[in-house]
Order: sequence, then structure tokens, then C-alpha cells
Amino acid sequence: MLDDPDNVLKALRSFRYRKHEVIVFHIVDRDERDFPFEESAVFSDLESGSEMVVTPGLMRSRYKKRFSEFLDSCHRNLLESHIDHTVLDTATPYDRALFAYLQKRARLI
Amino acid sequence: MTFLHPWFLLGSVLAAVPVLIHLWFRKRLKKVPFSTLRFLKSTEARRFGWLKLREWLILLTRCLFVLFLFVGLARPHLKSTLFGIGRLASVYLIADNSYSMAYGDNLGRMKELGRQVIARYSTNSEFCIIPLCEERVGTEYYWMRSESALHALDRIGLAYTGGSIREAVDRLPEMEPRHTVEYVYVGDGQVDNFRDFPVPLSTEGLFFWVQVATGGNIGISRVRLKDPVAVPQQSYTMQVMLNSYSPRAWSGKIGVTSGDCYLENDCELQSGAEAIVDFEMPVECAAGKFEIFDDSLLADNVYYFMKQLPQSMKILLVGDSPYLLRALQSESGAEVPFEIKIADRIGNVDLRRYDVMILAGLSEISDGERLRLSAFLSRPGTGLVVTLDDSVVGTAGGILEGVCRIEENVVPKGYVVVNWVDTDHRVFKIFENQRAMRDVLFYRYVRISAPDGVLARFSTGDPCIILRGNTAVIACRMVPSSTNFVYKSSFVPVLLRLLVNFVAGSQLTEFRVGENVAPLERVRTPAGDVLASDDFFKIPGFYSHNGESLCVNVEPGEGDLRILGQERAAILNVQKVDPEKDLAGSDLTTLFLIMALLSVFFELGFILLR
Repeated sequence: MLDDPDNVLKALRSFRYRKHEVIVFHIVDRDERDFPFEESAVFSDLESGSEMVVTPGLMRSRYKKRFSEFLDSCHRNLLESHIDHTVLDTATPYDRALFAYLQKRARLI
Repeated sequence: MTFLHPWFLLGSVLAAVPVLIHLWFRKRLKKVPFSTLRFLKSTEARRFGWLKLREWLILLTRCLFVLFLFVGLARPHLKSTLFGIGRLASVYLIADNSYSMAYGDNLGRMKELGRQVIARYSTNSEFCIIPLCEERVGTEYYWMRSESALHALDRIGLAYTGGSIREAVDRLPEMEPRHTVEYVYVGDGQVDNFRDFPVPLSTEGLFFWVQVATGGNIGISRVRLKDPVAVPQQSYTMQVMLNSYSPRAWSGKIGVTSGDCYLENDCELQSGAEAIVDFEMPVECAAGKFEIFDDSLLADNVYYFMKQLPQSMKILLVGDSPYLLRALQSESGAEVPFEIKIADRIGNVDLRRYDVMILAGLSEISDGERLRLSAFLSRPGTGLVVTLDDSVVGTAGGILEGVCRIEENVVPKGYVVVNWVDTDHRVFKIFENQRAMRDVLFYRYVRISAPDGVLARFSTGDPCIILRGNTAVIACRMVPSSTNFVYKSSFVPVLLRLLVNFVAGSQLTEFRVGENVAPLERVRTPAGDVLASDDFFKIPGFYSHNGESLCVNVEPGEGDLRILGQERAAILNVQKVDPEKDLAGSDLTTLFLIMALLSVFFELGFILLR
């Protein structure tokens, strides 16, 4: 989901157009969500490899707001395209998360 | 730019420390793999540039703080004026308060220039204000800030004495100066002020001279009796010696005030000349003051005088000498200044009643008489005249011990004459330019010798009259069988002047401002204050001591206002300066320390500004 959001959404919509059911499990690390870092550090982008010196204390609140906006945006856009969007925490074992999702879905049916 | 403590500049390399710390911490920063920097960048997109700039500004202010701090500690000094900041130095300000500064308002002008000098130095400078002439013996001098220095300068008063930079420098405080030493002399720069100029000042230190302009001067250098051993009847003559220290001819009036009496004379004086002006004074006027009018240096325009005129003397004539007695008594019945008593021996005569004793022929003297004679001569204003005859040889060495040595009787074939008299001595001054006593014959005399004090010599070379201390010895008895002196016209004047010489001795006592009061005690100033025995005369005028007046005058030499020439100043390495133009300089210490402080404030500001 961290790629170009429009392209990702376009690709997912194409599956949906072919009558497939599309479920997006959006895996988010707790560090990504809470940005709990304290000390200044060099943050390295895993995608592009670029680096940046960051003082977390100065950036935390703005980062969390932007990240939350991003998740909301993803959720809204995917739902509009009738694509189920579920955010999973990397700290939660994936089978338990999957089971929880399936239970929830069964109740809805 | 120069630095007082340049080794502090080594500390400025510590300015690199914040950079190194920055790099060190940057290198040690933990690397955190993160999914994407998109939100970080987008979050801080606008602030990111500012934060980066802020980071560099903080680093810069830290570097500048260290740099400014150490440059400030190195005491930077600029040789030109910057923002009106003054020079940095430890300044010995030698303020000329010698009495030549009484010329016009030169003392006030000196203080004004001194204030200008102090204003040219920074607030970090220190000052030691030293008057050229010490006002109180034992005054301690110390370093002070400019404000105290201004007060000290204002308190300096006229000293009425001469002084020298040498003496002033000898009074410098023991405390070490904190900065580069500079000497600033503010004064008229009389040549005499630079006598014995200390070599270290001319070779090592910076010596500035801020000149107080002066001009010509006429001064009374001395007042004296024209004939100190004459006995005045109605009047006497006072001589006023004037010196011109002026480049121009001067003509003016000199007046003398003595009680209700006032006399005035005109005087003309060429440039650099000396002149003597005579005043015919009534005998009642023995004390007063002479004044020059229309001259600018007031201090030496007044001369206080008090002359003890010989008016009456009590004489004890011991021995049989009718010729001496006749010489001392007026044959014409005119009033003579002597009261004479005759005695065969000293015996038990009360010597305290007499001023002068004449021993006509020296016979045996007992030990008791010798002691009483010694006590008599120890009193001031007393004297002894001894005429020697044949019998003295081998007997009378005792009382003349220390005056002369008696050797033998001399009986020349025929006679001898006196062919030399000391006309420089005030007793024989009246015989100047004339062959005095040339017709006086001596048929016999006693050969005496003395290392000095010979007033007259026989043609044989032997002394005829010796005067040492308050004892006069005549080598011949004053009788016709020994000499025809007693019949000659010169006999009475010589004898009288010899006697008057003893009592006129106190006329020589003269005091100058700056002299110590000791050994006199309980001397009162003209204002009536009592001076301590270790004090000194501070101002000219009439002082009193045991009911008697003492006249105190200024040192005449200080009235010479000739100033140090350019060539001599160059030799002494004395730089004549104008404080407004030539004492430029900027002590940048405070400026740099303030900038260091500002760096701290800016750094704190940048840290707090997010």
C-alpha cells in the first residue's frame, strides 16, 4: 500500500471488475503506527534506500496524524471500490488475525 | 589587531569542538530501517529545510561562542578607534602639580587634559594617578578604575614645589599592573621635570606627554640684605633678585609691603636676564613681602622676607685692651649698637648676658672657664674674637682647638703687611676692588694655621685673620707695639663687621616650601595650624615658631618655564601627544565577550524555536 496509492487501487479494482472478491489485509508495524522512537536516528527508507536524520520528539505528532490520514484514505477508497480493507498489526500472529477476520465475516453472512 | 594575552588564542581552536561533536554524534546515530520516509518528509516538508538550517545555526553559534570567548580572553586591541571604544592599558598618569602650574589656569587645564586622557581608555583599563609633587609624605598610590581616577585627579592641588618624573615614578604602587603599561605625563614639561629621567621609561615603556601650554615668566629668586654685616642707623638696603624666564622683554613694578610701609620700584628686564633691584628700607621694616605685578606665574611673584637687623649687641671685653675699647665706642658721641663690659678674666661673669666675647690676649684659662666658654659658644648668635700675643704659644691650645693651630711667635725684620684679604667674604666685601689694609704694618705676630677660614694673610703667607664657625682669631695683639692697625681707618670697620657677622648669622636661615619642619617643633602655618615635626612646609607665607616668624618661599628654579625640546624628547623617547588625536585605540575585550554571550543567547533561541 505504500506504493503509489492510485496505481495500487487501480490494480485492485481490475480484480474486482472480473468479479473476484478482493480482501486487503493491510499489515502495519506498531512502530509505523505509533512512531515510538525517542532518540534522534538515521531513518532508512526500505523501499528507496534514502536516509534521513530524524528527531522523533519533534515529528511524532505530525507523523501520526499523517499516517492516520493515510490509513483512513486507503480504507475509504477501498470501501468505495467494494474491497474489504483490514489493518493487521505485525505484533499479532497472522493465523489468529486471519481467524478473527473469518469469524467476523461469518457473523456478517 | 594586537593581543595582550595572545596565548589565549590557542583556545580558539576549541571552536572546532562543536563541529567534531556534531560529526561524532551524527556518525554514531542509530540507523533505523523504516517502511517509508514519505510521511516523515511529507509531515515536515515545510519545516524540514528550516530544521536543517536551524541545526547548522546552532552549530555555528556554538562555534562562535568558543571563538569569541577565547579571542575576548586574549584581550584584543585595535590601534584605531572603533565604536568609540578606548585603549586598553595600565596607565600611570603623572599629573604635574608643581608650582609652575600656577601659571594662569594651568592646573585646571592639566586636570581637563587628564580627564580627556582617561576618557581615551576603555573601562577595562586601570589607572594610577600620581601627582608630580607629593602632597603628603608617605601617600600610597594604587590602581583604580576610571571613575575613581577622575576623582583622584580632581583632588590634586598645587604643590608650590618643584618635582620630577623620576621622583614620581619612585612612588609607583607595588601592585603589579594587569595590562600593558603606559605612562602619561600631563604638564607643562619643564626641563627640570625630566631630570634623571628613568632609563627604563625611555627604552621599554610608552611614555606620552600631554602638554599644557605655558609662557614666559618673571620670578623673584631671592631677597637679601645688600650689606648683611653693616649696622644700619636709619635705613638699610634690600636687594631683590629677579630672573626673566620669558622670551620677551618685561617691564613692570615691584612693590614691598611691610606693615604700613609700602615702597615701589620700576624694573625692566631683558629676555633671560637677571636683575637686582635695590630697596632703601626704614630699619623698622624688617619683615614683609615683595611682589611683582603684571606677571602670570603668581607663585614666584611673591617673596616673604624677615631680616634680623643687627641693632644692639652685648660685648664682653676680657683683658686690657684700650684700643679695642676705643674702637667699639663712638668718639663723636653718636649712638653705637654695642653695650660693652670689661672684665680681667672670664671668671664667674654671667656669660648668658652677652652676644660676643673678645679675648684681648690669651692668658691661662682654667678648665672651668673653658667649659663655660664652650657653653657660651654653643648658643646661636654668639661669637668669640681672640687676639693673640706672644704669651699664647704653648699655653692656649685648648680653647682654639678645632679652630686653628698655634705654632710660634714671629718677629720679622722691620714689619710685614697684609697683602691678601678674602673680598668674597661678607666681612671684607667692602674692600672689593681696593687694596685694603695696604698701609697696615705688623711688627710681630703669632704664626697660626688652619685648613680653611682664612680671611686675611700676611705677606709672609701666614694667616692674619681666621674665621671658623663662630670664632675669629687675629694673629696679633691690637696694641701699638705689635701693629699700627689700631691707628688706621680700616681698623674700626673690620672689627665691627667681624662682630656683626656673628649675630647676623641667623639672617641666613631661609626656608623653602617642601623642606622638612624638623628640627623645629610646634611650627604654625599661616592659617594657624600646628605642623608635626615630620611634616614639611607646604605653602609659602609667614609661619610662626615660638613667637617668631619664619618666612617660607617657593623654590626659585621652578619658575623657569623652559620646556623640554623636541630633540631631547626624542632622545628620552617621550612622545608628545594630543589625547583627542593621538591616543586612539580600541579595547575589543568587552565587545568579544558580549558577542560570546550573544552567541549563547542565539543558541538558546534556536533550540527553543521549533
